[in-house]
Amino acid sequence: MSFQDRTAEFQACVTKTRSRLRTTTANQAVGGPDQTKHQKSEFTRIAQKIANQINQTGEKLQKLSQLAKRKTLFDDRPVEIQELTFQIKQSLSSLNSDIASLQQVVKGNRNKPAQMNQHSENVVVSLQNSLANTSMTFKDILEIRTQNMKASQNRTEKFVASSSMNANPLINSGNSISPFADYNDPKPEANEDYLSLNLGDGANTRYEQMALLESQTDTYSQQRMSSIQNIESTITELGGIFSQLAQMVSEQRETVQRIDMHTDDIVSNIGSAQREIVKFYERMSSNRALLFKIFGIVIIFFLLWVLVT
Amino acid sequence: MSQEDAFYGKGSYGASSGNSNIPPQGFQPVYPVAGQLDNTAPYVGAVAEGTAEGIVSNGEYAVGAMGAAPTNIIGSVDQQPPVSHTSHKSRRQYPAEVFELTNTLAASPAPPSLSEPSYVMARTPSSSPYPHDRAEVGTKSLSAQFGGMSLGADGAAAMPTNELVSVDLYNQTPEISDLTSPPPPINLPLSYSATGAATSNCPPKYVRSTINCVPTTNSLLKKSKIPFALVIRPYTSLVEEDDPVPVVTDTIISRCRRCRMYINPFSIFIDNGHRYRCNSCGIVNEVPQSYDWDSFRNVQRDRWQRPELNYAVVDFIAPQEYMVRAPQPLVYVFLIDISFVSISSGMVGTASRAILESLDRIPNKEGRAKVAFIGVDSALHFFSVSPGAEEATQLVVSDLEEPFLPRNQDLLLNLRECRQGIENLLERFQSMFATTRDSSNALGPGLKAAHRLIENIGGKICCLISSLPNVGVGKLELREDPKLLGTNRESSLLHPNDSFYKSFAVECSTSQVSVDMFLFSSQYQDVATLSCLPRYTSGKTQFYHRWNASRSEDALKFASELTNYLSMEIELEAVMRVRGSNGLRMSSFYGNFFNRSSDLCAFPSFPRDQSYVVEVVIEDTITKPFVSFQTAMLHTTCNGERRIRVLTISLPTTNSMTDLYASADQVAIAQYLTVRASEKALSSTLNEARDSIISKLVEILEVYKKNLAGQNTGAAIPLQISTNLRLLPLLCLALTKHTGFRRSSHISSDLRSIALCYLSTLPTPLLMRYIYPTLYSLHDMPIEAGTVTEQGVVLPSALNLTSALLQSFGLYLVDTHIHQFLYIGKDAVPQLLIDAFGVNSLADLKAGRFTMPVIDNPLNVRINAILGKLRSLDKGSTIMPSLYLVRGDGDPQLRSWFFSHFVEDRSENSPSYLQFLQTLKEKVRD
Repeated sequence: MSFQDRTAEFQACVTKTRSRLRTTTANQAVGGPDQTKHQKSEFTRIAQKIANQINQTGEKLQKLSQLAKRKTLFDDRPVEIQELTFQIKQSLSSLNSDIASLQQVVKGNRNKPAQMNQHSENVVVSLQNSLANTSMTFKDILEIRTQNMKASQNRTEKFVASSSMNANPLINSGNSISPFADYNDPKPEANEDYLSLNLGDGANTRYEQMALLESQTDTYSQQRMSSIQNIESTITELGGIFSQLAQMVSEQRETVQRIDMHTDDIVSNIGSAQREIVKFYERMSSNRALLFKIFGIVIIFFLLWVLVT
Repeated sequence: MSQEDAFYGKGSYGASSGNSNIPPQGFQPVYPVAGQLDNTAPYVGAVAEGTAEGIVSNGEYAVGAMGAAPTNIIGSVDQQPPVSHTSHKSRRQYPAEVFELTNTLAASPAPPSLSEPSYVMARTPSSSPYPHDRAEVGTKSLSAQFGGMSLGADGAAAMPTNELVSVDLYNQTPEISDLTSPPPPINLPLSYSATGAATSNCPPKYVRSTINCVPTTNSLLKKSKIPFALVIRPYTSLVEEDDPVPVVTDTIISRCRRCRMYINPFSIFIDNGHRYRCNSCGIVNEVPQSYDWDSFRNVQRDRWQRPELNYAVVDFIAPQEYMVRAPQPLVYVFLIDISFVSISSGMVGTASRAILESLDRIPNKEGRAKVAFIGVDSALHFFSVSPGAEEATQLVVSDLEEPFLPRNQDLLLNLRECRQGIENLLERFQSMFATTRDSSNALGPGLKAAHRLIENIGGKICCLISSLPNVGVGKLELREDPKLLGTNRESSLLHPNDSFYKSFAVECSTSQVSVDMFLFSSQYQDVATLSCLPRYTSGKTQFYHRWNASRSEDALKFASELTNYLSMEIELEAVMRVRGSNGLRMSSFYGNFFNRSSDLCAFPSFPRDQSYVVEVVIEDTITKPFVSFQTAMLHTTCNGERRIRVLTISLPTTNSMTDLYASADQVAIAQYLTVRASEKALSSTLNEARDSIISKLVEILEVYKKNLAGQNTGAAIPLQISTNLRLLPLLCLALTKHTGFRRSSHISSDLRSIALCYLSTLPTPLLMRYIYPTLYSLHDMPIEAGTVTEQGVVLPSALNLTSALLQSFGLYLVDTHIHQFLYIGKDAVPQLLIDAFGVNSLADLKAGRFTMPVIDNPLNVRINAILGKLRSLDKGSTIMPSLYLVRGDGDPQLRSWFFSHFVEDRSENSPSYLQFLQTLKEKVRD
């Protein structure tokens, strides 16, 4: 904590001092006439109220000053400034009329002692000076606000211009009006519920049909635009796919070469196998007589076995 | 009246006992007094502590002590079941009274066997003779009983209940002004608090309960079917000065030694102020010795002026034992996608210029804030600035498998020391990559590198991404399938597609790193997967649909939101806990955070524009007249100060379902249903989410019909609900028709995902506008609407969202807080167009994203004032709504989007409000 708020102590001290002074004033005023005392109290009360209101207006002015002096882009609170301006304007006008009324009261009491009149006039002049200073401050703040608004507008325009300059308007340019008209093929909705609201008027039927035709034309254009967008994205994806394919093909060159060599080996091996099979076939053909003999023996044995049983 | 009845009943018991002459039943007449004494105990304590005079305080304390002892004696007798007597005669009252006195005196010999009476006996003068002590005890117990009864009477008079008024939902148009009305009042007398300050209980903008009257048993809560939850919004403004709360600066923090609840306005001081009784668990705690001493000024201070005893929402400045390390500085790491799409759409240029404009608005009072910039495409581009240097050095890391930091220092830039270098870097950031043709996006490796950069400190990673990550870890595929939209399998598109983002979120949360996502879409962006990081690291997800900087509306919206985001005074390394009174337990937590243990929510950084929902379970029967909930959030401010924000809300208890329904808050219930349905949509299916909303509403209507509605024997049974819940069906219907939950084949998964993100994080006033947008009529608004008065800019009255109110020649404004729509009917007269927009015909108005022109015309000035007022209604939001112009004869898709906000009308898949009520009526009848 870099500082300590001792406002409460100060206010307590002020309260004590004020009460002490009030006691002294009461003692002095014992001998005065009641009417004069009452009149002075009324005057002092009104003056004090006006002074308090001027102070409150000053506080609002301070807050307005803070808001108006903000120069950072996007740090603008126009509604808050507008509201504060309205309140301050109202306060200033009401204070002005209050001070005028107070001045009338002072003029109406010309028969008072000269010293008291001088004091009253001094109080009125002092209040008028405070109000004038507050009004001047208000005017200065409004001027600053106007300048800052112009500067902020210029900077905003520069900001937008630089952003636009950097951006490619073609990207995301279509279908900006509705977030639901993207990614998909938009199917034109009939919207009977909404269109039928106006069909009660017979006079509007013709215009409604024309509007519907116009909508259909717009829908057709939007459809074509969406299709083109889809084709564009598909082509982009295909480009990526082909790039990956080329990369895979280059990576697999050695593998393909080895496969080719293995294929040649396979061909020669198959040739050798074929020659062996041909030899075996010839040997099997020459042994045909032996097969017949074995087959005959088996049949004879079978017949004997059957006769015995 | 109730007290007299109780007294009379007691008399009847006494009479019967006298007649029967049965000694064991001699204790029955004392039974009814026990409850009253127990209920009024807090009064005795409060009164005792409220008095400053020592003499009177001692006397009151003695009465309180005596009041406790008889309660214990009677408590032991309470175990016997009460015996009911049906016969009584009025002429027996006087003898019964005498008998009661005899009984009380007869009970006196029992105390020596109990510990509490011994405590009481110890306080009597030891020099007194024993018979005198006995007589004194008897006398004081009698006075305690009578005192308790009188206090009970005062309590009954001081605790009015909310009136239960039934309305027939069919016979009236929904009163949408209820959405902005205050919730049902919490009828808790201020005498329960230590100081009686009007700010002792929590205002609804911070903590809002679904029921402002808590049932004493879980069975009553279950029978009522009303969910019990708290909606907590610890901050209501982006910067502290817009909504300051009292700060306790002397680091004297007193907490209950058992339940650890902080001292609060409802703590009960006893023992002449030296001790206090915890309002949560009832245990007695010591007050710190220095509690009444102002060590800075060396004077005695008034205890009752301490902020934590007068305000329900306070900030404590934490002492040393609440810190585990030096306070963390504010750190932002900007992960900027510099792929071809980002450069072409203008995102990189707009972002760098917006950050440049925001450097003065980042909170940096102590000069400790740090920033870092990492460009992401097929490689990682780091930028190094030495302190005092005027130029930045770019360091490119091409290794994406194991991304490393190319330099040990000067990558994390102190905002004040490296200011010139940062400014030069941001000015040339766009031109550095203007000629890129690289379409890669290595977001995963970039996140890993950023995490490695700040994992020892903590901070925020701000991702600005325009394309789908397609390189390295965490790359995502194009899985959007239009054929799945509107079917049951659509829910799979809302689930995360890659486990990297969940596991990385856990790593970030552990090292106090928070991730925010700003997503700009050219095509599919997979918001469902990328929003996992913000969800578990207490960040946020922003989505800019088909964004292009050449449209000034897009550029200004993003720049405004980014600067608001950077100027927010976030809290760092925060943990939040919600504690409740005995018998209450927090069961579920909803929002963007990481649940570290069962009831501790961890926030690497705490944003000021979100809210959280906590569900409450009643575990034990509540015996006190009120319960308290305390939300404590220990955090480090962005200015390096360790603080604890404490929000305390106390709610009265009841055992009446009528009181329960009369105190229900429809807005809080709607918010609870919203966040629960959002979680269901993300964890299971959209159908279950929609069904959970409708089924809860049907349950509430069933209970109301069976238990609370008037006995209606007519043939036509009305659909009734209490006045304070009459908008709940409309809010549930609007919720099921919302972008996040509506059954439709035209809502892409990205739009649905971002809608669910908003639904689960928006604070209550903004969420209500998001669910049920506000409709204003501008062509015939009152003369004072749009003008500035003492109360600020006057808004016109809100209309119901039904297109029956729309005229074909009118001008209307719909505000959802995220978007604003101006609808101009096709039959608008040229004078209206000239006054409002400065154009002569409808053909001159360009539909779509729109900037309201500023011309010197009263109607235009008023409309601009209304638009500005709506944008600044809530100081706790970073969102700047997009304005769209919809023409009555314009684009059908834009019009269907506009009319989809009219939730009281029938649409393709949803019923109208009256049809919805008919459906509810049929379900309730079953």
